Amino acid sequence: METKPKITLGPFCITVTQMETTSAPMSPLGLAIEWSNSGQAINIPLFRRVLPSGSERIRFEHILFRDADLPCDLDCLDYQAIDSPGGAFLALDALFATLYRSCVVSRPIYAVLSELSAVVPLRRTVTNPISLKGLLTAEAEARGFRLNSVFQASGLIYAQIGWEEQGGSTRFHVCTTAFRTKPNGRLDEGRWVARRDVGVSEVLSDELHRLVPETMDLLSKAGIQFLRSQLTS
Amino acid sequence: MKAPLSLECSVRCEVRLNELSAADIANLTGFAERRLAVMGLNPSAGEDATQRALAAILQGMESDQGGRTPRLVDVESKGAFLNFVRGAISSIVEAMGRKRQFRVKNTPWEDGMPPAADRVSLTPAQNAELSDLQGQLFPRLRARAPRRLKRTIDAWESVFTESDRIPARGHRRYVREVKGLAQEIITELGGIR
Repeated sequence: METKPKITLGPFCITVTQMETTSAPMSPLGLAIEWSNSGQAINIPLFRRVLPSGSERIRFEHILFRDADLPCDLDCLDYQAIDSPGGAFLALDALFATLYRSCVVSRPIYAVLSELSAVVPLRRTVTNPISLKGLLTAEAEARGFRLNSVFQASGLIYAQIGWEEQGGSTRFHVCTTAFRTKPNGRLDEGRWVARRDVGVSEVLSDELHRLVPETMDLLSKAGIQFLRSQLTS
Repeated sequence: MKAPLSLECSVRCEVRLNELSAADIANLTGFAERRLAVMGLNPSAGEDATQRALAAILQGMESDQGGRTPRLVDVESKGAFLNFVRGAISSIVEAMGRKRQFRVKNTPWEDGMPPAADRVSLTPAQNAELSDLQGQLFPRLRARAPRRLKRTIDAWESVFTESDRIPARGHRRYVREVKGLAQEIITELGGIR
């Protein structure tokens, strides 16, 4: 059961000068993801999915790589794979999840996502994210976690959590929590919504759970007030 | 092959699609994002789910080879049509949770080790032994472990028969703690493994 200790460098986002040609709706991004250990270096060219709207801003989920470049077995959600005549393209999001889950790489995910956000014009993840700060516990907010959206469904109030890189230009999905209201109007201790997605949200939510193991400790007083105000409004 | 959409239904559906404003699309995207979040999926895919739903409705209108086809009642008013689109989005969101597997085609990633070295095929007897160990080990592990290790134990159990590694759910220290507890239990059980 023992695994050999290993030093890995990366993953890093590097510029690619020689770009492959692809047919629509894929376009080379001019970037690659690279990591290495004492045995070898892996370099995976990246592509973007071009939407008919032709938006210049890119969704992180639309950054892809060729399945021919897959360095390891990978499970992803059906919509994270796009078939094309030349083979499938898979989401970088799913690859990151696999690399971190398998402990193949260990560079802090925050650094990797910040680096990617600095070189790729990424779009915010959800429509109308909450811009107020101080709604989560100070420790979580200091690490970049934010309350992204709040909504009610089936008698529960859901709080969706995001992670914002330092520039604040984009947010990545982390996880969702659900709270009930007690008869006295207070929120119960809450629960983490069971995850079904595959992506950096897995790695980020592990980081968040490490900072805040229980949902009841996730929200600040202002955050609890904010959720309750959403209930009554 | 599906029954083709009636001419009246097809015309009304086209009218309803043309009635959708940017605000309607934004509301539908918000609906998709909430559905995805409730299901534990990434709400960032809300825009894709909405576009897929609308594309499926267009496909249903233009061909009899699949897609979503509304009934006359679904296109009677804009409100009814929006409900129909929300239904289509819900179906698409449900399907988005399906997983797909890809296997490595090229060179292995670790120092010449085969990529699936920890998934060597076992004999039926070894499989039965492993399954027996799983049944013995995990209830004891859960009874003994502090609450903070629960996620790591759950994650390990889900891959126990396929891998020698404990997935790092939470802090890596948790993996070491779980491994230590497991070794204690296995020793008590008589060193099955």
